[in-house]
Amino acid sequence: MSKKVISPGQDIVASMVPEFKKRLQEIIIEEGITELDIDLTGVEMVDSVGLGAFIATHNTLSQKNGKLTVINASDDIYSLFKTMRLDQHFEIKQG
Amino acid sequence: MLIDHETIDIYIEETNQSLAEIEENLLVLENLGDNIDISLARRIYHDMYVIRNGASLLSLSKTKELSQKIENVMGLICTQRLTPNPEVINILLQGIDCLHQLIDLIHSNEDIDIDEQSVLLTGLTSAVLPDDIKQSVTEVREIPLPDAKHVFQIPEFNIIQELEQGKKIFILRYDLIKDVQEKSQTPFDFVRFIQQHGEMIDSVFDITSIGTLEEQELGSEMPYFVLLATTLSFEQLIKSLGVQSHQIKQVKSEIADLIHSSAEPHQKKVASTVAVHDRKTGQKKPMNSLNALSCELKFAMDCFTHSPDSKLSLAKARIQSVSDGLQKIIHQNNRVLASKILWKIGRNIRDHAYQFNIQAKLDLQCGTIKIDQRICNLLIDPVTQIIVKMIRLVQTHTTVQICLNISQSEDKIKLTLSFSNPQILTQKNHLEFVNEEKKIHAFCAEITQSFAKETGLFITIHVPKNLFFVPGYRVIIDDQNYIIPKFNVKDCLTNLSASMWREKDSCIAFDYNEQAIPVAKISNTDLSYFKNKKSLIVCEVGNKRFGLSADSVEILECDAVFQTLSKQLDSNAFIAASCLLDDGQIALIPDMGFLAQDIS
Repeated sequence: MSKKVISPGQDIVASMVPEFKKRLQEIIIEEGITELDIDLTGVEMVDSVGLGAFIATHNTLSQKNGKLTVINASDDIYSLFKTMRLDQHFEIKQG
Repeated sequence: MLIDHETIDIYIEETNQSLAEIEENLLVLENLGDNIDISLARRIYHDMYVIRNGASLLSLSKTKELSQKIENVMGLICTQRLTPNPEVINILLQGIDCLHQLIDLIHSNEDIDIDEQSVLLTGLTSAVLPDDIKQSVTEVREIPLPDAKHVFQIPEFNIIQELEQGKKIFILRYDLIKDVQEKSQTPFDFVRFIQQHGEMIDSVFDITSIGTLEEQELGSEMPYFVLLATTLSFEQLIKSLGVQSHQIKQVKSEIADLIHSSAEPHQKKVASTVAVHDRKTGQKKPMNSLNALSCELKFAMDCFTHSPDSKLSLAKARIQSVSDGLQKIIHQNNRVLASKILWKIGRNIRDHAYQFNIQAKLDLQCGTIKIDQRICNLLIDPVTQIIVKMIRLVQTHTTVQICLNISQSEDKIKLTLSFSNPQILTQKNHLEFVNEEKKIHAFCAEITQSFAKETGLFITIHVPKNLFFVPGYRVIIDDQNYIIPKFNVKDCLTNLSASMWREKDSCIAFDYNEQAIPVAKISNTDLSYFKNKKSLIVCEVGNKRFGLSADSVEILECDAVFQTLSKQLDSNAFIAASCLLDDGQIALIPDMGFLAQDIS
């Protein structure tokens, strides 16, 4: 079981999602990472497309019996993920 | 930032203010007892609703869960299905305490355990519900989504609570790309917007439709379903939320049975806790009779024990073993979890703190220790008074926490009172416990206090475990206190006039229910003596009925801890035992068997 932490360092919004998605694919599919932590330090905003990226990453890792964890989420992002019940699919930790 | 710090700070301030008001209102509600002030109960209910909604908005899951459970209990009080008695109010106040702590820790992920309060509140809710609704607290109702791939799983009781407020339940279907992203909304704004129109009971993403990173359609559709409870109608909801009719479905058939039950809350009215208490009392009646028999045996046995006849030794030993066995059963059946009764001390301390505008808390450490409930009840008042005196020793603006530790050995219960922070008192203080000592001595307990710089003030109370209790009425005859065993008392007459007494066959008699009953002579046989007596206790021993004249009677029943007296008072044959009253006075227990025999 290999583990990696990725830190986007910027808001997860539609404009950066294609590039972010590409990076996630490299990590999971090419590098074979099955335990991925997405470090949201410095991330203040996640839009709908960004949420989709998290769910797609979770779905991809689930197919490989892997696990996604979101770490260092700001209070706002943490509360958004909880309200939308995303914490029922993957683990979310506050910063 | 999605939620600015200012919003959180406002929530903290408003919630703390609201919780303080709720606490005060709960105490008012408790004092009103059965005469529930519905408007006040509704105000508390509404305040909890506001707190819960805010918690939901800020995704404070524990705050939301706990406030929801308090709201559930308040809902039952509002519909008069639960009486706000001290036990109920105490559980609610514990919940409020816990909410205070959660709000204080809002920035540290609500890092406290709410399981205990949560279980207590759920238990309270389910305990008073009728059997057909009781299950709703733990039963989960499945509400399938229109896509048939997912289901919402909601506690039935939560649905009933929403329905009882006149709300309808809807499933909303959104596509977060089309309905949110393409309208330049953020997910957070979107969620807040929905929450402004009702209670978001649950929500779920159709994560399978979103696909994986490798699938090209990623991002083209993001189905998101919301289960909403709202007072708005179908049409109003379409207009307010700006959605199409195919995006909304009212939940009806799936909860039809719950709609029916919530529409008749008053017909479902159930026994209040008072009635439960009555039932409990009913169950305890055989035990009361057993206690009465045991006391009688103890009194009889005492006369027997001091008889010089050695031939009776085997019979005495056998009777003694029966008496001991009975006592063991009685003690066993009176044993309860100490925490079930002694929580009242914490409650008294809280009330005292309110009254004097200080902050004080009790840390009750008794684990699962079981103690005779009669001892527990006797401890409440003196221990409360001792703690109050301890609190008054301290000059501080912060919360004073007192630790009450309870342990027990084979024959004694030990209570230790100390400050949680031993350094809070810097110098030795000797507390005077004149009244408290009287109360403690009344059940043969001893109190000591000690002080050391390192460990602080310690107050220890040792209570014997195997005490003999006689339930009885306190009467005064010729300036002497007596306890008349309750099981011998059949009636009590007061405000008697001199003409009611008469002499018959050289005995004093009294007309009771058109029959002359003989009156026992304790100190005087003169008719003029009886004519001055204002009260008469009608007593029965076996099939013998007689009266006992008294100057005054306290109708209130008390549990007196007695010690047999035959050795000390051989000359006074009509006295069976003595006890110390909680005001320090000595009371005697007449030997009712002797008096009955004497009359005949």
